[in-house]
Amino acid sequence: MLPPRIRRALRLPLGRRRVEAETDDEIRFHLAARADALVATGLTRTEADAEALRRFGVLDEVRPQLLAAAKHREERLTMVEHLDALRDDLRYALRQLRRSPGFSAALALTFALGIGANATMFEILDRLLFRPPAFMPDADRVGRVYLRSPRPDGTESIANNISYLRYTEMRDHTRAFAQTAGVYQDDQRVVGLGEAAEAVAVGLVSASFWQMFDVQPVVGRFFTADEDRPPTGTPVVVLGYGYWQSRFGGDRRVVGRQLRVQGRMYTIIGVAPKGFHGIWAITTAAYVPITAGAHDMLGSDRYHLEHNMSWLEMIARLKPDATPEVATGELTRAYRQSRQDAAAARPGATPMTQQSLALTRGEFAPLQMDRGPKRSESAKVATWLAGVAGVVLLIACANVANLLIARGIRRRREIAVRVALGVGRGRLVAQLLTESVVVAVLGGLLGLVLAHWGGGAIRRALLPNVDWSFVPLFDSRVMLFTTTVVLFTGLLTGLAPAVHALRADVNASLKAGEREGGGQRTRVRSGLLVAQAALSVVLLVGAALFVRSLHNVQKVDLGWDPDRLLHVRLELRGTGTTDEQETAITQRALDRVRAMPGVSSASTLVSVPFWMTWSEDVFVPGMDSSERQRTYVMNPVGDDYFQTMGTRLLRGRAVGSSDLRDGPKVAVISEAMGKLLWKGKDPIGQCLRIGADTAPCRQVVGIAENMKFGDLGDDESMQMYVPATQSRTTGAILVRTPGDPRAIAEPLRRKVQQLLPGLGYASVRPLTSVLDPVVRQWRLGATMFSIFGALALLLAAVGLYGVIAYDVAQRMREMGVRVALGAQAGDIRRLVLWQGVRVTALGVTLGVIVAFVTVRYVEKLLFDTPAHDPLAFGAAVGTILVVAVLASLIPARRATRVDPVVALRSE
Amino acid sequence: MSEPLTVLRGTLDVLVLKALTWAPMHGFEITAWIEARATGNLDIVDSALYQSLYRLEARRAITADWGVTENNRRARYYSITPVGRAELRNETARWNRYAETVTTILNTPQQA
Repeated sequence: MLPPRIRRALRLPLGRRRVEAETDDEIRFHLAARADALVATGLTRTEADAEALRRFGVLDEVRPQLLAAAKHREERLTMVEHLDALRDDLRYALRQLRRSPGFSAALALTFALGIGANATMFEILDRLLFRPPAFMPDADRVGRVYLRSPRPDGTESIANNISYLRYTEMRDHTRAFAQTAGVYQDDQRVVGLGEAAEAVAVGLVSASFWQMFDVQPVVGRFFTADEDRPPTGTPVVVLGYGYWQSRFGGDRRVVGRQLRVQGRMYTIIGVAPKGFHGIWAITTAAYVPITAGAHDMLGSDRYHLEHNMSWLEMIARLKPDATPEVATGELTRAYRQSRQDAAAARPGATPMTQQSLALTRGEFAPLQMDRGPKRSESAKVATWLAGVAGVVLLIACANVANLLIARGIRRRREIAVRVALGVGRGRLVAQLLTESVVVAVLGGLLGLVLAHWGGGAIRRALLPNVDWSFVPLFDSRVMLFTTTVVLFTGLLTGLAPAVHALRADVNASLKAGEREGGGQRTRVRSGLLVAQAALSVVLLVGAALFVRSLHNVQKVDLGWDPDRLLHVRLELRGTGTTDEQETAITQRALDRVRAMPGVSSASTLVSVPFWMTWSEDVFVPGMDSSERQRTYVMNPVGDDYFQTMGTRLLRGRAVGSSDLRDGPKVAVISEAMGKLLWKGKDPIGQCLRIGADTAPCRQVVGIAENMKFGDLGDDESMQMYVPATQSRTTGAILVRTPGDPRAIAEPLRRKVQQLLPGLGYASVRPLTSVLDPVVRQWRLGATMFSIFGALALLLAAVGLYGVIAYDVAQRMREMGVRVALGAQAGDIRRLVLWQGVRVTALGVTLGVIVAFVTVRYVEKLLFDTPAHDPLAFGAAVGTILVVAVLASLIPARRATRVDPVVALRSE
Repeated sequence: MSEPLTVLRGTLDVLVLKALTWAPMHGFEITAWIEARATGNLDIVDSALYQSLYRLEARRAITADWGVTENNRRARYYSITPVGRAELRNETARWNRYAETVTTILNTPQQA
């Protein structure tokens, strides 16, 4: 009789019915055995049966109890068996991995790269698209309001910034919302006095904002609706936790103290808790009532009665029974009404046309900007990169699968022995899957560490404004994602080797020698190689396209030189200075700056490319309507402007302080503007009216080169420069330095700061920082696609090398025979090389087809680069073929060194 | 002869384990084995024995398998596992200590 344990091991878990039947059998047997024993002592059969029953207990009561106990027993045993099997598998897997630590490390590292890339991209996409703001309950019911309207040129304007008046109208004329709030974040608002003054992020929020969160102040209180009434609001401020800690040392007696925020003194009334960031990803230093902040920012007491300043954002929480569609409908109705009322209120205005009314709509969209109608280009690139990270992971899976199969073949005999000993194929598969999952878990842990430390740079590049300092190493959402990826990866990877092992022919394997390889075996592996090569090509094509785009972006002639430029802004609001005083202060500051060492030239300007635009209507006799609708950028400038900006003056003269306020009005215009308005005639000496057709005539005295002002591509804007002396504002100071401008930024700021009255504040910013976000998507695409592409290439190369090297080792005998039959080293080398190149070429062909189809989806993200750029495709294909040859070369050389005698004798 | 003693639940488990150290047995054999040694001093309801057997099996102190008796009847045979042997050792030691202690106290001579 076999030991019961082994027999149990071979049996399937008992079904519910069988448990009952067996238990009844056992009871019946017991009763019979007891009765038999009693009969032997002299009782009659009837008496014995009755006595047996009596001794057993009341059957109707105890039988259900026994059945329940038996069922419980079976459940326990089944579970224990599973756990035992799992433990055995784990132990076996760990033993296998320990046996070849180098191999295991290679596997784990491969996974770590793939999983780390995905964890990083997930974290970024999660921030952009999914993660709800901290402390916000039911965040999916909260959304952002957008307003769509037609522009004069026929394009559609989608605005998330609206006027305070419009916010109150939308709030009061909709019923779908349980809560609404007006919010605005000023990331450069001056807080603090004198030396302690600094520009920090301040949230301007309506009192209702706090109700959208489930949050309590750590000290004091939040502000109320009474403190948030237009036009001035009440100057009270709630500090952000980080700001409170760093500037006030977490002092709880801070409540009641005064804090300067921009142009006013505010009373501190409370502190927001740790981890609270409102709806923003960047740390907010302080929160003020939106009406108080608006009053300081707009410098007007009528902002709540007018539509002309669009700045705040509206967020809202849906009522429990409302849907986003209902909200959108109500917003549309309210917005149309508001626009019609505004149009009617304008004296002598024509009512809105039906057509433009139809195009005037509201929209209730997700809170995350990048899920709404105004997705950033960087978010699109990030989404693509997440897909690319997925591809890298697939390549890593293919690679590990290939290596596992290779080892599986080497372990063929061991596996055959196990099968012959009666280990079920299911158990065998479970073992192999356990092994790959264990490797995936190791890789996942390593990947998380990689994502945390190495991914930091990527995170900062993608979302530079986000404060990542509060990201924990093991964030629960990232952990959940990574765990899912790890399991998926482990199982996916284990599948191929498992299927392989299942197909193995036990008899043949037991008989065959160590070295004999099955030709069949390589087919799966070649398939994996082809897939790897194909995916790598796709990534390399993507990388090449973005690198080309970035190159083209950097080649663009901006018409100005952004490097080594500082922009110095004097913040004098709230200081009570007049325009004249402001001009005088700016002039004094300019003189000081010019005298500083490390400054090559300096001037003043108002409009700054990609940052600040002052546009004006322009009137010239004979203009048509399309010319009238162009953007004409007005820029009052000082002496040395063109030299400082790095813009060439093509003809005529510059404007400057020698053009007196009451002297003849003059202007310099861009070359394109001259061509547009005077078509072939010489613009110099022509007359230009700015602002209104009754404005005084301004004579064109110079032509400057065109400037890329708001778009790196076809920039349609026209530039005109007038002397600052003839303008009401002087604007900011522009400084060119011979070296790194950041080096003198702070001394320069301090020097200028000394000239400013009380609440005045000077801010200094390098101009490259305005260009960085513009170039970001291509820099990002080029960098990340290149990193991921290189990773893919490396993995594919290792995979190819592994398979070819293994194959050569398997075919040593065959090679020996070939050499014995007179094959030359060159023949052997070609044979092996050809094998690698053939597989790669097949993959490349496939990859090119896939890339050809998919690139048109990224075309919009490229710069001046056709999606089917032959150079990009050529470079990708060339790179991978060269790598394939290199990866095959080492095994090929090994094959040529085969000694036929040794090879033939080896078995 | 005095009244038979009721067997405590945990105690029955130990008795079953002890029985199985002799040989694998089916349920009735175990009952008979214990009864033979209790010489009528213990009152065991037969169904309680099976409760005990299933409990022991669930915690893998014993294993069970169907076999055939001398009379060619199908019966569920139980055998003790290493886990069961360890449990028996521990419980026996505990029982002895308990019984000794109680016995010592109860047999303390009456104070004069």
